[in-house]
Amino acid sequence: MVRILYNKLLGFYPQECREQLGESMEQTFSDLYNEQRRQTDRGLFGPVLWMFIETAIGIIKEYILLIGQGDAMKNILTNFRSPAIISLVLVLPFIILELVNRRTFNEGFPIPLFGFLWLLPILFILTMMPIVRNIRTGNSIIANPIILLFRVVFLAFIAWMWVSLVIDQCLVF
Amino acid sequence: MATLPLTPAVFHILLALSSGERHGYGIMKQVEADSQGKVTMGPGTLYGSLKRMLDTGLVKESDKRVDPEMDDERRIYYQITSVGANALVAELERYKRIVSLAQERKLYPKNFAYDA
Repeated sequence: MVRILYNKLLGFYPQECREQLGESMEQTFSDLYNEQRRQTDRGLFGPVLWMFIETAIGIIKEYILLIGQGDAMKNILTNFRSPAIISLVLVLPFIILELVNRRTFNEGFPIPLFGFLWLLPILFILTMMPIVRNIRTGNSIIANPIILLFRVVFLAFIAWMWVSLVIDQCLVF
Repeated sequence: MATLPLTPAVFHILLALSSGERHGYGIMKQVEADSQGKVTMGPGTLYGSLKRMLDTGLVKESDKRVDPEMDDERRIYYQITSVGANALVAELERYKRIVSLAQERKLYPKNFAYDA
């Protein structure tokens, strides 16, 4: 079970790293796990948790290094532009309403709230993109069910948060 | 070409591989032994460093084979390249100069007995 979970965690590595080192990392994790099982009387939770955290930090580092490279940064910016515009179109009516409302009551504009309202649809679209891309190219979207489950839960959470904020704002209006 | 100073992880991996080819777990154990247990490297650090070392030519993969002391799984072994060996020597030279400087400034004794 722990090995399966670790394998799933390795799935979060950038593709190039995963293909190059995934198998070796799995073997090494297995070796460390067996070593801990042989040696420790105090339970495996601590060492296993450390290995998961250490690997998760490694994954984040790889993405940071990838972002630091020119092409990856360009791709991210290109991918980010369309969701940013779509999100702005969604939020714009509320911004206008809020501006009109605030002017009437002579109050400041709540930038953090609308920034958040703008960011949530961006996250929603960015999370949706890989799923839509897979469907378009005819790939199975349930090839990696755990990642899909995470995405769906995250999408539902974003949608719920956005709708709640909008309803809240509408009640204020 | 690797730029000096090497990161501690890269330095320890090169040092571990200087005594022979090793697979990932073997490198971890050697690093632990070389540092008297003071340096413990996890899989994330080890393989992240190995990837960059492969890209810069400090190490290379050798054939996949079975470790006779472990299970029957075939493993990728890593070996130090001449570039890696040169980088290790250059880093050790750098350490040596730093130690000399520390000795000149009387920050570090000339006859030093390591107390583990």
